[in-house]
Order: sequence, then structure tokens, then C-alpha cells
Amino acid sequence: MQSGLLSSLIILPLIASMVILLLPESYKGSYRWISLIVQILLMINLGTLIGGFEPNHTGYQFLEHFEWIRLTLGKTSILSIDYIVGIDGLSLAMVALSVVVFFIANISSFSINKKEKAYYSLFLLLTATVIGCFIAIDFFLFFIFFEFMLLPMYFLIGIWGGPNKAYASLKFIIYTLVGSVMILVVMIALAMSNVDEFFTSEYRRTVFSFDFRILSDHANLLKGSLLNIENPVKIFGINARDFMFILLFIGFGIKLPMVPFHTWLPDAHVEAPTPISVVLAGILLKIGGYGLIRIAYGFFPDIAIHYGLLFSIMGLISILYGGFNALAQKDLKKLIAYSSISHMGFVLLGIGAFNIEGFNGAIFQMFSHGLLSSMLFLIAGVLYERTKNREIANFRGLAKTMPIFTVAVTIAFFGSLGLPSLSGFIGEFFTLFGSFQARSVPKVIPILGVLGIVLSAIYLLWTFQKMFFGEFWTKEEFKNNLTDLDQKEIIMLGVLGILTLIFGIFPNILFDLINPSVIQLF
Amino acid sequence: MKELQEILSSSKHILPEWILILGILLLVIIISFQKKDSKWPYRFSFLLVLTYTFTATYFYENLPSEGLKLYGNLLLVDQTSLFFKQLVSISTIIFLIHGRLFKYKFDGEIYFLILCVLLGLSFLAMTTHFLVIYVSIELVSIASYVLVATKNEKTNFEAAIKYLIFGATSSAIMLYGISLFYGMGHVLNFAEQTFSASISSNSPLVLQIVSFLFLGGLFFKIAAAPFHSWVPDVYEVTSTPVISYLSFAPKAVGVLVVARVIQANFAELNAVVLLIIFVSLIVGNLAALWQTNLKRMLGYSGIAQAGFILIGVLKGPQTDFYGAFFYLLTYLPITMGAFFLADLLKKQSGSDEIEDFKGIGQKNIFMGLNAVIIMMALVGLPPTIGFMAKLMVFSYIINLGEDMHSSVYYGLLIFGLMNAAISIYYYLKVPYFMLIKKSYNQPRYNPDFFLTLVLTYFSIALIIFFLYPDFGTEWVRKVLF
Repeated sequence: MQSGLLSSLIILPLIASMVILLLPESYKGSYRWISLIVQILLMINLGTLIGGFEPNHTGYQFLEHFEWIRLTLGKTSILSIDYIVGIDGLSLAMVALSVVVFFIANISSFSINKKEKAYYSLFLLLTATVIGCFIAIDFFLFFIFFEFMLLPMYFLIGIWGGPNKAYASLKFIIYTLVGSVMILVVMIALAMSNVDEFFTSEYRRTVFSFDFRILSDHANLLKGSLLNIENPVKIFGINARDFMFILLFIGFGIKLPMVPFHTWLPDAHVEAPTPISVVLAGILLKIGGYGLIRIAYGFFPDIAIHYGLLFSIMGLISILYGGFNALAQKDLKKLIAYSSISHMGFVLLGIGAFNIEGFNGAIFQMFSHGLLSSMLFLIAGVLYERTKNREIANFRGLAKTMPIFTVAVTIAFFGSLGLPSLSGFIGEFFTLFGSFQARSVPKVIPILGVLGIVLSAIYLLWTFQKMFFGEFWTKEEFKNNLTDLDQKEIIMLGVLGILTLIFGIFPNILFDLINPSVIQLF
Repeated sequence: MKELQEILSSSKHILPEWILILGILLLVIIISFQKKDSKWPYRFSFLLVLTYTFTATYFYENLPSEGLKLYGNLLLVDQTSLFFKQLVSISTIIFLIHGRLFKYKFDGEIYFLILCVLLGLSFLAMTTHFLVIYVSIELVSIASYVLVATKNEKTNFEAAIKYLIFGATSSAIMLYGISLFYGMGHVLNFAEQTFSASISSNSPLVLQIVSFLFLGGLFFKIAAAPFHSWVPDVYEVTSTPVISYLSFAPKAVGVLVVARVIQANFAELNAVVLLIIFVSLIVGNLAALWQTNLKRMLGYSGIAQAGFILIGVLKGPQTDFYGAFFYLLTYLPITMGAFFLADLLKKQSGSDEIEDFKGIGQKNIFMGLNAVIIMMALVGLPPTIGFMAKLMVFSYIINLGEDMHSSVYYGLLIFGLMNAAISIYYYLKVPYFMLIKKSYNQPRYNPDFFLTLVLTYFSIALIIFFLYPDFGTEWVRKVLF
């Protein structure tokens, strides 16, 4: 069935982006509405998708498959690149998250009033590429979206960012480009080792394929090729398959971000405007986790299981390092950025368990972190918009003047520190649970991981107490600006807060979607 | 009498070159009888290049697959040489249009020299004979020296003298290599069986060194390090359309000759080529990082790109130079588009310094977009054809690594990719200054819609070519050895 529903998720924002680019400057006021309408259309399409999705169906659904490029490589082989999109439970969860977060970020973008034309066309371009990344079933297509995401992001941070934006945007693009270059190596190596049997017999030439379904089936590995399993090829004394797996681990680890490749993240977050921070934390980081599950584990399951310990240790380091760093921050946004690193560490820990509980937990944690970190960055944005300042020490007793804001902050903070009945708890619980069950991971790692939750409780509650309780005090020049949330902000924080609650109380809504896909991976 | 017969019958087969030679002579006459600012030299050269292109494309109908050997094996007309002649003549046409659109007041002599370069390259594309190679390279070189020197400024003389000295030295080194080869085997055509047989008694190391000497002259034309020191100065001062032409045409045909040498397989040259690749990548990229002048930066980027192109000529069990040729095909619109952009930016900001481009992209958003696309193509990011070209050469290295069982190739793969990642820093500087930096002093701004539109052709071509690369791949596949 080729319904075009999935493609519409990419094409709609792309068209809207072009339309905005071509509209004359006198329609300036309409850009944000065009963009918002597209986001709402995406929501409706997402609803149809979820309605038509059959969780217990094996394999990808809503597949759309078009032949695209048949690149002749020399005389004997063809590189077959197709436009294939499809979803399973894992990608559906991620697509749903992206649509929600982009919707929220779009509302938040209303406060941008500089060069709207460029902003909204880049924003819609980013929407298309991010969603494309999650639904692409062809490695080449995935990589194009993955790589192309960098440029809108670069300009969004570089033009609308804070004072140090040039440094931050460049650091972001170079770090991620190094990561994607590593993924490119693996992409080429995988494609050159996997043969599409059907087309090979049809064209009478070796047809190399990028199709995820072919790449994940080891029966398609060409004998004697670089990544074959029987007689491993050595690269620098390491088995080629191990080598490629490590490249993927680092490549997606940079995106995740995993300590020690995380230093671009605090810079990028601090400089980015609020909506872009929301997108960056809410979705872009998830592509790292998605890639690790879908690509690193999906194509190299035989290798991955040997690296459970490495994953877990790196996860643990991220959790603790991010947590301790967050403790030391004076800037609210920087604190949130480090807490993001810490929380994404749980994703790594969950993946490192390489069991069903761990994977489920990791995916849930990504989803819940997407909601919660969006909330947190919106909260930082609320303060910054009013006072142009984010120093924690500059605010005290905000609860008195901004009661609704305080409610939102309560939900976000307690969700993040893992209070049961909010979504953060479920994710952290299942990742730790999976990690305890994993045979290859010593028990001490999840035990220390629990410390991460304690750390997040310390820094979040501390901040909460310092900023919201006690006598109201702030610098003289901010006093008049500190009004409570306006309607727009109530909608944004309200939607996210309610979703956090829903998924905290009924986690099965998500688990029912992803569990069958996760089981298939094993 | 037999020799005369051979010459006469061979002469029938190089009609395009005859047209070019007669045309050039006619052009000299036109130049000497017309006023200085006459438009006729331009019009005539345009017509001449068009005729040349058409004859080069359609004259050879039933070409045997191994090619026609002419003049007692001095010249070789095969599909590959035709492909390169087409590429070079397309770049000549772009040069002519570029110069016209920006209203350069070229003297007729410039057209004469450009056509001489075209003639030299066209012979260079169809030979495997040492002497013809040497003579054509000299023809190309001498014309290029004069081209660089024609703008009557002190900096031009300096650059031209540098170019001349380095060029003469590398020609001398090349000639030295040729004479050593001749001394070894008394055969001058390296594609002949007798050649490799006659020199096979020498030790491989000697053969490698002598080949390196011979290839030096070609690497000079390709602008590969360590034969690159003329590049930045020459690129900076030469007028943009001329350097746009010189950045592509000699490089393309130079790569072809290197490929022919490697195809002849008389010595194990991978080590030499690998060395050149590593040095070119690192020198080109690292030096480009520090440049503030766009044309200088493009010069260094050309050195790095030469490194990428040469990856495609490395010898393996299934060498067909597909990667290198495809890369060259894509490099034509990319580099000439980049120089077109540089000229347009110069026209609007009055300078080649990247810092002076502040704010241009904000006023003319389409120009900013074009700059982004062209620079992305230079980095090799999707969705531009630059990505496909990089994909080809990198998949070729992986194949090589598989076949040769050597980690050097994987090292090269990672090294090359890291270089591609570094290169984004300096390429992005251009759109960065155009789009992100605010201009403090109002630039002399005139919209130049028409020129922006022409620039858009380049960037649209780069994207369309990415989406439908079949046209290019089929074209290249026809010409493989």
C-alpha cells in the first residue's frame, strides 16, 4: 500500500519552506501561521498514522518504495539507492515525538521577530529533515537527511543565537560533521558488502543496496567482502565489523551526546534561541539513540553484544559527569544542558543492557526526555525573554509572583528527577532494570547509575528552592518584567505537562507501540 | 612514401584539431586587423569553440573500442580522449560566457591564448607518447604564463614570474624523467608493450623514482602538492574567468595523463600517488583554513580537491578510473560555479576578502542560497553532486582495501573523510559572512538579478545532477579504459 501518508510528513514542510521563501516580504505576518498550519497538518497526519498502525504486525508499515538512483560503479556493479520510507514502533514513537515538539517549538518561535522569512523556511526545512531521518528505510536516504539537518541548524543557531553564536554554531557543525563522516564510512562499507539478490539476477551485475531490510539480514552479505562474517578482514589489526561498529558508536555518540564528545552541546544550547534549544534537546539528540538502536545494533547485532559493557560504562560516565557538572552551573540553561547529557546517559545505559527491558527503557527515556527537556528549555526561555538573564542567583521567591509558572516548573523538575507518576520515572526505571538484568554488565554500574537520579534530585531541587521559594527578590530592573505566563506559554507548557503526566501514569500507551518492534530486534 | 601515406591518412582523423588550428590562425588575423576594443575576437572564438565541440562530439562515429592510432602511434583517439575534449571545451565555453557577462574588456590576445591552451590540452588528451605530452604541456604552460601576466600590474608580474620559474623547473624535471626512460628502453610511447618490456630489467625503485620525475610535470598542472607553490599567488591575481578556466581544464587533462600512465602499468606507482594524495589533502586543507582571500582559498581548496581526484587513479585489480573521471565531471560545474560566485561577490563588495562580503547575502537572499549550495558541493554534502563524487571515490577506496588487503587504504579513507570534515570550516566562511555577519558600512549594492540568475543555473545543476546522476554516470561509463 503506497498511501503517501509518510511522504507527506516530509513533503508538506518542504513545500511550505519553499512557499515562505518565495512569498514577498509584505506577507511577513503570515509566515508563522503558514508554518503553524503545516505543523497542525502534520499532527493530523500523525493521528491517521497512529490510527492505522498495527503494533503486532511484523516489519515496517506504510511502506513507500520508489526506485531513485542506479549508480553504476565501474563495469561490474551497480549501487542501488531507493526512496523507501516506512515505520515500525520505534520510528513511530520518534516521529510522534518530533511532530509534538516541532509544534511546540513553532508556537515558541512566535517571539522571534528578526528575519522571519529565513527563520521559518529554515525551521520547516529542519522539520522535514528530522522527520525524514526517522522514517527513512534506506541508509543513503537516512544519511542525506542526517547530514542535511546540520545546515538549517547551523544557520538557526548562527543567525538567531546569543552573543557567542559564531563559535557555538561552528563547533556544533564540526563536531556533528566528524560524527557523520564516521557514519558515512560505515554506510559505504555496508553497502559494498550487501547484495540485493533479486536485482542482481535481474541486471546480471552485482547490485549493492542501502535498503535497511537488506542490510539487517546477514544472508545478503557478499562472500569475501569487507564485512563478511566467516573470514573477518582486519583493519589496523581490528576485525572490520568491530571497527565499523566502533565508528558507528562514536558517530552516533557525538550526536547523543556521550561524554567525552559532548562539549558542543552546552555551547550550542546556551547560544541557541529558545525554540531551537527545544528542538535540539527534544529531538535532535534522539537521532543519536535511534541510530544506535536501528543501525549500530540493527546491522551489527553479532558485534554489539560484546560491547554491552562499553556502552554501559560510557552511559554511566555520561550520567555522573553530566550530573556533577550540572551541580556546578550558575546559568539555568547550562544546568539544563548538562542535565540533558546526564539523562541521555540513561539511554546509553539501557541500550548497553541489550535486552528487551533495556531497549524499551531506552526508547521510553528518549521519548520522555524529549517532552521534559522541551519543557525545561521553555522554562529557561520564559525567564530569559522577560529579563534577558538566566543567572540562577538573580531570582528568588518567584512562586509568589509567578504561580502558574511555578506549577509548570514543578511538573518539569519533578518529572526530570524521576518522580513516580511522571514519565521520567518510567524511563529511568526500565533502563536501570534492564541494566540489572544484563549478564554482561556488572551490577555495580546500574547501582552507580541510581546515583545519577540522586544527583538530578540534588541539582534540580536546589535550583527550585533557590529560585522559587523564600522572599521574592530579584534585581531592580527585572521586577516589572516578571509577569506570569501568557496564554501562548500556558498552551506550550500545558500540553507538554499533560503529556508527561499521561505517559507517567499510562506508560503502556507507548510500550504497546514499541514492544513488538523491540522484540523483533532480538 | 609509406610514411607520407600514414601522415595523410592520419590527418583525416583529427578534424577538430585542424579546425582549431586554422581558427586560431584566422583569429590572429582578425585581431591584427580590428580595433582594440572590437567584439569580433570574442564572437569568433565563441563560434570556433562551439564548432570544435560539435565536431569533437559528432565527427567520430564508428570509433573502434581500442581507439585509433594516428601518426605512427603519436596520437590516440579513443572515447576517453573525446570525453576529456568535451569537458575542456565546455569549460572554455563557460569561460567565454563568464567573461562576457561580467563585461571584462579582454584584448583579443586573451582569446588567442585561451584557444592555445585548449589546443594543447586537446593534444594532451589524445596521446601516450612522451614527446607529444611534453610539447603539449609546454604549449599549455607557455600560454598560461602569458595569461597570468597580461593584466598590467606589478602583482601579476610577480605571480607570473613565480609561475614561470616553478613551471619551467617542473618541465625540466619532467624532461629529465623522460630522457631517463628513453635511455633505459629507447621507446617513447609508454603504452606500448615494448616499452614496459624494455625497462623491466631496472629495479622497481629506480622505475618509481623516474616515474615520479616524469609525473612531476603533470602534478604541477594538476596543482597537487608538493608541486603546488605557484597556486595561491597565481589564483589571487589572475582575472577570475581566466583562473576559473585554468583551475579546471589543465587539471582534468593532467589527471587523464596520470591515469594513462597508471593504466600502462610499467611500474608500481601506488606508493607515489598515495604520497601525493596525503600531502595534497593535508597541505591544501590546512593552508586553506587560514586564508582570508576567497580566490586564494579556492586555490588551496583546488589542491585538496586534486588529492581527492587522485584517489580515483590508484591502481587496483579492477582499476577503471571511474571515480576520478566522475569526480572531474562534477568538478567542472562546482569549481567554475565557485569562481563565478567569487566574481559576483567581488562585483558587489569591491574586494576578494571574505570579510568584506558581510551582509551581501542578507540583502540578496538568493545569492546567499547559491553560495550555500556551491560551498556545500565543494565540501561534498548532500544534496549536491559533490556528495556523489566523494561517495564514488570513497567507495573505490573501500574496494581497493578489500582487494589489496592493506590497511593503508583504510587509513587513507579515514584521513580523507576527516579532511572533508575539516574543510567545512573554511568553505562555510563564505556563506557565514554573507548571511550571518551584519555589514557596518553600507556596501555598494546593486542587485545584479541577471547574474544571480546565471549563478542559480550552476547551483540548480548541482542539485539536479545529484537527484538524477544517471546522465553523468552513463557518460563516464562509456569512456572507461
